[in-house]
Formats: sequence, structure tokens, C-alpha cells
Amino acid sequence: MAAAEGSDGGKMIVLISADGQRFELPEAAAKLSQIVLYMIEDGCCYPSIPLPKVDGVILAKIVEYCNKHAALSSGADGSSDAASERSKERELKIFDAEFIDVDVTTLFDVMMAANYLNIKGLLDLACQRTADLIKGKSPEQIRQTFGIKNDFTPEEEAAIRKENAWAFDNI
Amino acid sequence: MENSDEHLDGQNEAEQYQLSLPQDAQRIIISFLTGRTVLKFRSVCKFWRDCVKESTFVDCHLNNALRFHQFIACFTSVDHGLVHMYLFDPTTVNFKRTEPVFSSRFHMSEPCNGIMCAYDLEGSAEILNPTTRKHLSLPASEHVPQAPYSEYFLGFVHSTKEYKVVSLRHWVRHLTFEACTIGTKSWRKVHECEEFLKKTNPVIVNDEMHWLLLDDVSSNFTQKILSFSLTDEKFSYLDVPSSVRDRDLELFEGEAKLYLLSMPCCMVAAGFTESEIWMADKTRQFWVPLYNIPSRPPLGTRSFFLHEKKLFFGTEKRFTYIDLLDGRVRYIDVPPGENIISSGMFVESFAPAVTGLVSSITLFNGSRHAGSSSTATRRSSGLSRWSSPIVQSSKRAKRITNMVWKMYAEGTRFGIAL
Repeated sequence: MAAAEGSDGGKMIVLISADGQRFELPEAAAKLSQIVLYMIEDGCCYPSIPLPKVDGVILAKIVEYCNKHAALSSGADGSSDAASERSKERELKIFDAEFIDVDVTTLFDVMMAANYLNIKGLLDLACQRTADLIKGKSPEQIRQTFGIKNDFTPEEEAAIRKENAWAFDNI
Repeated sequence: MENSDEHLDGQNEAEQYQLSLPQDAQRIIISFLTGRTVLKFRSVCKFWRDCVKESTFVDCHLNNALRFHQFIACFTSVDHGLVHMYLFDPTTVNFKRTEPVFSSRFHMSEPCNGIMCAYDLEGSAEILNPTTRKHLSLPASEHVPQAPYSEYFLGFVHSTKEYKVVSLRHWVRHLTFEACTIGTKSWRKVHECEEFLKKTNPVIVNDEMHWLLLDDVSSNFTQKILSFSLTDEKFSYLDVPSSVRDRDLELFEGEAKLYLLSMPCCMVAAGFTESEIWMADKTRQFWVPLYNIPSRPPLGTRSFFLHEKKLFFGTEKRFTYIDLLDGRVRYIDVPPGENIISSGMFVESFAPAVTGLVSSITLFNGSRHAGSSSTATRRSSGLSRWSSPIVQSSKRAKRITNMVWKMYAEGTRFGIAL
């Protein structure tokens, strides 16, 4: 069978997550992913696109994001005056803020998936959220959050501490 | 991905932690932090310390900073090799903080992507980054060894991601322009001409510098704009709108667009006192009138700039803005003993991504500003290498925390939207 058709007549794309779950979404929404866009352009998106690096739980989130953004940015209702543009922008902002208000594990998974699928807006959103979460932390807390090993020698660490003290506190 | 093996080696140790993010993802996250926060996190690990040296990271971080973490900055020269940087929130225009910037030079270009060109009248110039507190001395020019007076301006070439310094040496109407790409060792002469500049400092919009030309020395009128493209280093002329050629004109920049302020000229009959703001289109061929201002704004000689419908300008002692929506004018007087030397939009960046930058500590260590020789001998103990006037001035900078905008008397309104 050729491409499935959505309720509004647009083409539908099927994504398959690592754990085998099926997600159907309009082509316009799927195209927010640069990777999926290339696959659609190359015609290798039928019957479905397997995404072996993305878990079903996370792919559900991603699909939710793409659907919302595609629906609100396409101007499907034809009204494109400044006032409705602004209200759409506001709605997207509120959606984004709620969408990204998740636990750190989910946040990182969404970020990795957005990076892999190359969804610029979502990657920015997730990275900015992460940056906001960590900006007040101590370096040791950062290491714990990201699973980073402190690879400095005591001398190197002392040198950085001295430099930072000069830059941030003592003067 | 040369670090992926290292990353896997570290994974056993990392397993005690719940998560482990690849360095590519970490790099993206770091690029969303403000410059100061990135520096604070230098001690996390070598990767976090060293990624600020990669030019791709510097570009990526700069783009995010320009989108999410802009400031309005005002620089004042203090003394003893110190400049104060006052930072304001661009949306609320609330005062954020003051920071000491180390430079022994008393003149400064407008900031460009978080860096400035500081210079003195003897023709010695440096690039400085107040975030990283790093300096880069510019080479001396061979072309005009005894210039009567020179000024330096800093711009960014978006296509090549290079920074270029343009020096303007002027002698009455004889102008010599030279350019130096940051990171290279020499200046090249790019233009010589005979023109009367209305102001010597250009208005920089994207990759172009613009100067208003006076018709002749005794005239206040102007018909043409001299433009310099930083990309191909070519000069060209633009026309100003014909309806404003008998007006007193000023150019300014706002959110990457070129604007023209047309004010009543003292020679023109009184009565016609409105000022107008015009915007140039992308091709610079057409000008669109945007705002009317009921009178002549109290501008100084420094550059001014537009941000979110507010027009900012700094005279020597006073930093002012006109809100073009409600016409109100607010100002902040800088502390006694300080003079405004530069103002503009500012970001905490890691530019320029070139080698040869020197830390402020090294620069002032043993320089003529470091005080007595006894101070210089105590080099190894951190702050003691600073002479006490610098430390005192710096402490004073830290103490200034309550700068608030004052309003001009009710009725002094300069702007009303069309």
C-alpha cells in the first residue's frame, strides 16, 4: 500500500521505536526531524521508519512535541495576522515550558533523542532546560549529574581554583 | 569522537552515578550556559575546561549567547588601568552588576560579540574580552608611523567568523583606513580619501561600517553615507533620503538594522521641530520612516543604539535611554571620577578563537600599573601582585549594586510611536 492518509488528507509517517512501538504522525510533524526529513526525501520512509536508538516512552514525547509544533506553525487555518501569530507563539511557549518540565533522566533521554533525530528546536529546548538546572550547582554536583570523573591532578585543580577565586570572589 | 574510548574507560567508575552523558551532548549543554558559568565550571574536568578553546564551541556558544543571554553594557574609564563594565538586563533594563575590566588604555570601541578594542592615542591597541579577562595586543602599523590621531573600531565578518579591526587616521579631511584581521600579524591599508566625516566613529551593522559625510566643512548637511564592507574590504557610497537632506542627521544601529535619526537643524526656521527615525532596508536603497520624536533628543557625541524600542546613548557622565513607545526618558549618572567610554549590546563570549591571548594577571604583573617594585617581587601570592589602587577600585566596582534609572521631569518626552 502507498502512504497512509491522515484525516485531513495529508500523508502520515510511521515511526517504530527501539522496543517496537508504532507511532503514526503527519508528514509535516515528522519532517521537524532533519533525519526523518532526509529519509522522506529519499523515499525510504515506507512502510515505516525504524528508530533503533529511541525508546518508546521517549519517542511518545518526541511525537507529542512534533505534532504540537507542526500544528501551530503551519498556519493551517489560514489566519496569519499578527495577533493570531502572537497568540500561537504564546501557546507554543506555554507548551514548551510544560513539555520540558520532566525529571532529569527523561530530560537527558529527550535531549539525546533530539540530537540523534536532529530536531533543532527540541534540542535547544532540552539543552537550555539542562543549562538552567545546572547553572547554580557546584562542580562536584555537575560531575555527579553527568557521571563525569574528575580527571585533574591536585596541582591542576589548585591552579583552576586560584584562577576562579581571582575571577569571581576576591576582587 | 576521539574521546569516545576515554569515555568508555571511565564508564565503570561512572556507573556509581545514575547517568552518563556523552561529551558531544555535554558540549551542547555547556554552550547554553552563560560565559561566566562556563568559567565557574572549569574545574569539573579537563573536557569542561578545554572545550572553550575549540573554535566550533566558541561559535556555537556565541550564537546561543546572542539569542538568550544578551546584556546592555556601559563602560567607564576609572583609573589605574581599570575600566568598569555596568551590565543591564536588555528586557527590563534593570541594572544587573558591575565588573572590573583591566585595561590601561582609555579609549574603547563599541563592544562586538562580547569583545572590544581598547587603544590609546599613541596608536597602541589591544583586543580585550572582559569575560575571560584575556587580552591580545594588536601589531603596530607600518604604513603611517606618525599618524596625528587614530581611532579603532571592531567588527565581525559573519561568513568567515573573523574579527577585523579598522583604524581610522584623520588629518583635517584626509582619511586613511587600515584593517587588521584578528589573529594576523599586520595591518593593510584599505582606503585613502578626502571627506568630511560628521562623526569619526562608524555605525556598525552586520558586516558593514557606516559614516555620515558632510557636504563641506562649514555645512551641517549631508547627502551621502560612506560604507565599508568588512567582508570584501570595499568602500561605497549610499544616499540619504532626499526629504531629510536639509536636516541634522545621525546614524545608529538597532538589532542588526541601520537607522537614521533626522533632527531639526538649527539653521532651519523654528516651528518644524519634530525629529524622525528612518530605517534602511536590506539593500540600503530604501528608507522607511518609523517614529516621530516631538523634539531633539539630548544626544552626546558617542554612538547610540536601539534595542527593543528603546534608544540608548551615553554622554560622558550620563547613560540615557528614550522609550520610543511612551516617550519617557530615563538616565543613570555614573559615579564621580568615571567617564563613559563605550556602550552597546554585550554577551559573555569566548571570542576571539585565536592564539596569543594573554591573561589580565600576566599583563598587569610588572607593568607600569603594578605599582612599586616591592609589589612586583611578591609575584607568587595571587592578589598581592596587584597594587592597592587597583584592588581598591575593583572593590569599589563590586560595591556598586544599586544603580537605578531616574526619570526626567514629567513632560520631558522625546518619543511617540507613529
